[in-house]
Amino acid sequence: MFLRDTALLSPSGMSLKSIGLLYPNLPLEKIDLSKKDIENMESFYLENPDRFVQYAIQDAKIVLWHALEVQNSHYLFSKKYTIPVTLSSLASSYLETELLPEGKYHPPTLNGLISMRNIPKVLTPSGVELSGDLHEYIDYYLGSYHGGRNESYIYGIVKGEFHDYDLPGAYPTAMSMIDYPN
Amino acid sequence: MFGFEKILKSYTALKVRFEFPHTVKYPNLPVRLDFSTVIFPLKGETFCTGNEFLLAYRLGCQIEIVGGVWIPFSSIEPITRSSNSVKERYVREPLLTQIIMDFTGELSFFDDLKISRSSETSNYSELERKLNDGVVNQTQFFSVVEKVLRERIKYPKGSYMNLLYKFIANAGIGQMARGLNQKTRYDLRTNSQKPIPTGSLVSPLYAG
Repeated sequence: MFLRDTALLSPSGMSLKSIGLLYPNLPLEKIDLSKKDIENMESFYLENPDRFVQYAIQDAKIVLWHALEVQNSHYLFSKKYTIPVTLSSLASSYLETELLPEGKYHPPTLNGLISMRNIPKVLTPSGVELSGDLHEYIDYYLGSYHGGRNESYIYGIVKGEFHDYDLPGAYPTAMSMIDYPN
Repeated sequence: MFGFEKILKSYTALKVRFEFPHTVKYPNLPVRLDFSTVIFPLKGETFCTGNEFLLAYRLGCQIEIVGGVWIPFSSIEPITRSSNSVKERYVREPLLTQIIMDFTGELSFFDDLKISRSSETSNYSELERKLNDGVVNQTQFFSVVEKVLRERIKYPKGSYMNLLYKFIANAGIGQMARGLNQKTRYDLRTNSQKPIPTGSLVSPLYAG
């Protein structure tokens, strides 16, 4: 048995409702229930058994269809006919196919034993000795990785005008501008 | 000293001591205070990328380079486009516009696409002319991003495949940094926190 969490396999929102909306041409819209019914499913079942069954089956249909779509796309990208655990691993499969085959993505060290991706190995006694110059400069690259910057210059309730700046496509834009190292 | 272009088209990582003029309202060099806090002070010592160094330099920052590494990009070969059919797609995508808007003058990434920041229309027309001429400098990464975005627009907006390709385009940078920080996550099998493993695409070069 394999367990999967749909929240980790959705490119939109984490809710089942948002997953159903990915397929607007199919009857996969999640059935909305009142707060009272959601909080007490037993009484909902007793009062309206047909609608209870309809609700449960519709949820299962959304999950099943989405699982099959994810499986198909996984096959499309990686030739593996399985449902990945996360959408990130699916994205990774796609990018591996596009970037790794040429062999330029991870330039090996002089002796070819350890590449940039083997960071934990580099910082070991044998890694330091076998990684060529890598152990000498990897610290600089690791140290300069700080992640993204996100700032708010005003806080709380704001009266009047304020500006919210966002970079559309910031990550792919940055990625499109880098190149293989020489 | 290296020129801007030489730093911009490279993987540069530096250890620096720096001091911005007091007139700089938003200094750009990050300094870690502890394992979870990063601040951007006027003065300090830190590791930074080449791009961060360039921006600090342009802000008038006094910088002492303590040490550093410079690895240039592999050569960028011009790619001749055989068809003009790609033109419209290029012009519509925010991707290229963003690049050109951000990198002008001496910081121009595409040497041959120095375009006025003042008019978006002129950006489009200049880009269009370059594409018509059939020569645009691009990297393998550019080609991959372009391919992903091109695939994306084949599918209706908001559909699974449309959003999946968007997700892939955004996930690239994340995959390059995956596991670098040794952050942990809950592991159901052992009922404990375990470090997130590095992936096949992880590289401190690209992540920074």
